[in-house]
Amino acid sequence: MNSVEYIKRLEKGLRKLKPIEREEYLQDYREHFQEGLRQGKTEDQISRDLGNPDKIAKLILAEHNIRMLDDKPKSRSIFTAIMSIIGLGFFNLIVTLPFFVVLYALVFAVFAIAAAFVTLPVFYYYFPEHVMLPFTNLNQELFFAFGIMLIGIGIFLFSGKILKGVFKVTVAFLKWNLKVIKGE
Amino acid sequence: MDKQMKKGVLDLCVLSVLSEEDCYGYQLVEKISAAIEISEGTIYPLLKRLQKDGLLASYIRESSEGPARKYYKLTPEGITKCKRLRKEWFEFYNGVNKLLGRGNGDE
Repeated sequence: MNSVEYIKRLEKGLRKLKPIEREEYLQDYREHFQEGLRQGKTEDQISRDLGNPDKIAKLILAEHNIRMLDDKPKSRSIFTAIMSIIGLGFFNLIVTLPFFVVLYALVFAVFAIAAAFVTLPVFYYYFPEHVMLPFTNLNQELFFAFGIMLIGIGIFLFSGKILKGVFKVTVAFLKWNLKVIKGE
Repeated sequence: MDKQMKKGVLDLCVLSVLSEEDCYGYQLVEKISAAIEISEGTIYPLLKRLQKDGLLASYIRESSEGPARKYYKLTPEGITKCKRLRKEWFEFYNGVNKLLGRGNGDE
């Protein structure tokens, strides 16, 4: 592969980056070619030593997306980072994907339960025959229903903390993953 | 050598080479790939990361044979980190050798 082709492949792999950032990376490889030619290597040889440009691009993207997480963890950037890490290899597909499916299913379950708790009194009010509570008098049942509602509200109040924790775990896991599996 | 093991110590290799002398990208890549077999292209993203982590700094220096080159050098944090990683590496290395026995001869 000659240098033009190599850089083009790399550029294509990095098209999701902002042009300025992409240029910054490409520049390193252009200089590498120039330097290699000066040392008497052929373009073909330099390309071979650099390694597959598609894989290098994936590695760069993964590193880049992880970095974005450090700046500001947002659900969107978390998703992008997960996908690009998975893109690094099949191993990730079987290890990383299930981990996040389970983690986020758990988060979803917690919120679903909280929502159910909060709406219990309303539900109880409209469909008392569908709600079976182990109490004999109405006061106890009401007290219980509102207690559950308060717990539900409590979970929502803490949701910020919970999400932050989950994001932290996600970032830590992705970083570990990247360290172990990176490139070749 | 196993791919994953190699990845783990690549940071240390880069920091260590730079603790001896400042290098430009190509020179650094050559030094490392002369010692261990790697895809040379993986070094550049790594350099960027180490730089953004504040372990490396870069500066431009003119060269007599062609355009100016970008040199990398360790920052004070980089020096500290390098010392720590080296210590950890040698502890690990010695430990493994102890477990492997004589360490050479029977391969």
